[in-house]
Amino acid sequence: MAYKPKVLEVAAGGTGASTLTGVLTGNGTGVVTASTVTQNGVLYGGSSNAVSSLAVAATGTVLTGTGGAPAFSATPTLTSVTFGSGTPLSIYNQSTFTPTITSSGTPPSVGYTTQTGRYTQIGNRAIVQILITLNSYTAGTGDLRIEGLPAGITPSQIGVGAIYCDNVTFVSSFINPVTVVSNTYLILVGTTTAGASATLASTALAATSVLRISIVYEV
Amino acid sequence: MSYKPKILTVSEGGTGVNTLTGVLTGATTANITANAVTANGVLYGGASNAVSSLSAASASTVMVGTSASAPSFSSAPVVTSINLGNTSLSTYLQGTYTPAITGSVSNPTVGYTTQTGSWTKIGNRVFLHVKIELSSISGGSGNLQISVPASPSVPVSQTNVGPCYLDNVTFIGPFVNARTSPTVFTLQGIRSALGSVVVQISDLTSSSKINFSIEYEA
Repeated sequence: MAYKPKVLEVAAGGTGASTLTGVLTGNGTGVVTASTVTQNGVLYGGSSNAVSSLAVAATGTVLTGTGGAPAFSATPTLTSVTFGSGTPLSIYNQSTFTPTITSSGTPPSVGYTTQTGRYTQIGNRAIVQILITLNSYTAGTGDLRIEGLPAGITPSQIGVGAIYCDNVTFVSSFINPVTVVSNTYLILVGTTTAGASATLASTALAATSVLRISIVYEV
Repeated sequence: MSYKPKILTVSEGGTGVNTLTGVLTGATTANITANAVTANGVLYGGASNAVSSLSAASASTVMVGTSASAPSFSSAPVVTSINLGNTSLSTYLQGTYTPAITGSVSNPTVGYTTQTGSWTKIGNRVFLHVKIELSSISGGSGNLQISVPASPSVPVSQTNVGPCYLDNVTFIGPFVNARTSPTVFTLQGIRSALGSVVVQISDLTSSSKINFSIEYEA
């Protein structure tokens, strides 16, 4: 009969186990246990000092916190990213909105064929496109306003954009859409070669007016 | 007297200790040591082959390196670049500068009410807005020139155009755009079937206002 040595307990300076495969963990004077790990898998703590490992992470992923076990993700969510010594980039957002025609006085009565607003916000810059086509229009009073910029992209500075319009009346040489600081509307400002500029009035539009606007401004 | 077994040393095939709690590491013939680890905490190497663990990481964080220190999780990592499948994005930077008016022949004496230039560089694109309001101007001649930011500078090889809104500035138009020229901004009046005309210092008055937005590659 072959000699079978006694498995030495932890309390006696042994491991208490006759076979161990993996990362070893102790539990006081309890038997030492072994936790197998995945090759190339990141290790993390398990319960009662055990060791666990993640599956091999795919290319194009980063290790993320989850509040529980860590995980690799190709689409991590963060507060911000800073490139070198740059400014933290904390916002990228793209969405749509519905622009409307209003005025600074009595609002006009407006029928729309098209009302589309699109924007992309990258950091503190909003890039906005607006298309409005009308099918009916009764002018209001006061200055013309193009309302509806989402509150999240309210301009913090004046921005000047470009416009292509049809069936809009103005006496100036050219017009530009201009943001109004801390407000969610644009105005159209006409400039003349003689040096005068003026905000277009609600009466500038007609039932067949078309407005196409591109503007970039600081949020 | 109770029996007290001999604790087997490592050199005898034992662990050298009678209690072990945590991940076990050895150091040749010294006693095996146990390193407690945190549940859900990422493990990393400690000193002398020990094992350490981070705290469980919060959601919306990623693991970042910290040079010679332990790694950590951050919700606001600093990296060189991110590649979303095409060109690497390596720059996002916001800044301001003070735009000033000069003349291409001689410089006017200018009083400013407002002199602001704000820019954001995203990748290789700079989005810039300039706002200038005058309180006085005298002298000077030639083309109206507006200084560009020293950084991010405007490439000499490119001409960029942006929309402009003016007040109390006369010009030969019928319309005018801002353009890079390239070491200054100028305001360019454009005429149908005729040559373009640069706005002149003499076109400004003490109440002139200039606003333009322009985007360029840098």
